[in-house]
Amino acid sequence: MSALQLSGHGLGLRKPHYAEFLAGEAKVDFVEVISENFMVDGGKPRDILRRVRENYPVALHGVSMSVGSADGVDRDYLKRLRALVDEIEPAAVSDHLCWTRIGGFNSHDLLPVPYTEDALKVVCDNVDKAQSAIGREMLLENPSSYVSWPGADLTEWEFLNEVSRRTGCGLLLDVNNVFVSGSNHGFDPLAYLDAVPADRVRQIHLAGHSQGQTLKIDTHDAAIIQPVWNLYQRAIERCGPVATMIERDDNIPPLHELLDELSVARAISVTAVERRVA
Amino acid sequence: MSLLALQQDFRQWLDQEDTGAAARLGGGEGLNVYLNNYRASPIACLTENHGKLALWLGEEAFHQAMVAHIQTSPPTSWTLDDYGADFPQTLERLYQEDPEIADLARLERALTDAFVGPDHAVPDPAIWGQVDWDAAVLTFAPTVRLITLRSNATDIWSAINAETTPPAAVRLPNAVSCLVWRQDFISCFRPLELDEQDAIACALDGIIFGDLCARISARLGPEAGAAAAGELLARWIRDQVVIGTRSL
Repeated sequence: MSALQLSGHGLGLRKPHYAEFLAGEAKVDFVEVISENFMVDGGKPRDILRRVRENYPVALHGVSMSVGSADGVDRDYLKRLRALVDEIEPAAVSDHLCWTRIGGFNSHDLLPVPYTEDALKVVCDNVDKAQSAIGREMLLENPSSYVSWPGADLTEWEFLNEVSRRTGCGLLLDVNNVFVSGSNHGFDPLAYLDAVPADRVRQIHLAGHSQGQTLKIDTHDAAIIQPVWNLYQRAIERCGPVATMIERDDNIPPLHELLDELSVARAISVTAVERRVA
Repeated sequence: MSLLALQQDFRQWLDQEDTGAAARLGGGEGLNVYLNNYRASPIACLTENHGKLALWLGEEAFHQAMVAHIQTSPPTSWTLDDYGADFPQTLERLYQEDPEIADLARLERALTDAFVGPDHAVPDPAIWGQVDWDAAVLTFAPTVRLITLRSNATDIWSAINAETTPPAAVRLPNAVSCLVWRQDFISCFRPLELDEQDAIACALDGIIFGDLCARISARLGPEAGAAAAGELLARWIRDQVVIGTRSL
């Protein structure tokens, strides 16, 4: 499988910012796109991605692979993803540790996987099939979750470590998700970060979230808060200068505001790498 | 509980709001977060694809129609692009006396499908002079579709799009065909007169162009028939509805 070469600091490609990315004016090292938005036959979306790809390395980030489905991964989905991979030649291909589909029903949400031996076998089998179908390593992202299952055999980080070890997949570490899930389920985010296999982390996500009645919700609709920046610094100290992007999917501000936020990430990354070396 | 059993219960909770399934899953506020997320995705999809219908129906009625559809037609595909293909059928059931409502949905759905349909190469104009038209079969752009409408939905759509007052809804005495396709990156539609409706249906079925000319001439006479066939062909080529020819 091909080696990944994603590096630096990037942003998501979102409609309000198409013009700047098409003009190549945005000072980012890569852009990340939602794979499914471009797994279409043709037309303007695909054309936009082709043209953006001329200006930037692209990371494909999926939300519908459903590696946690007990009834397996969708062949049509994988075939279309492979076609997109072959055309765009992305620097990374990722999806979530979750399930979205069962028995012909699709929730279009990132539903939580129970961290059991039963589920571990299913996820590893599905990741193997996905990597085989797309012909390369994929990255698996830790999700935000709002329920935890009784009777779990493993913690989330143990589960991810084991999937990565058994399948060879890389990890996409979403620092905001660690913070959100830690708050919702009462685990220590620092302990999570310290347990993740640093050599398997290929990309980092940062985002804002919102506060529900009792739970934190991963809404990607606000600026990144200081506790998440602190966790990001710790993640870089552990994992090194891993490619990092900021997700913003709602209340999308002008591009310059996101670039300012990305500058904060760059500065923290530099400091963290220096501390790591020291 | 096995992974499969857990996921089936989760589906029952999202799809049916089955409280027994929720109890087996442990209950709690977290399940409501997932329920809200599940409902939001198809709502957002239908809202994005049916902007003109929403304005025609009004916010509350459109929302009720979406909720009714989601309850009877949960998402099945990995892509939300596929969701709502059967929304017109739900609207036919809800608004049996108002055919323009389902027609607006049908038209907007076809435009959405055309927007992300397969690409095609735009032919070099020089190729048309080399065609043996008597033996040629027309090749249509892959996004070309004919949809059947029972109302003046195209006039309503166009007026809303132009931000002018839409006409009153009219049920047509006979259903009509509307041609939908994509030219460059823009989805287009055009309601068809009966002559063009018949001609394009035959051409899409693969009739030889010479036979199509003969069919039109049988109705209009040789000279007028040849002229009418030529005009149709010229328009189809200009609009990128026809993108080439093949031989049988």
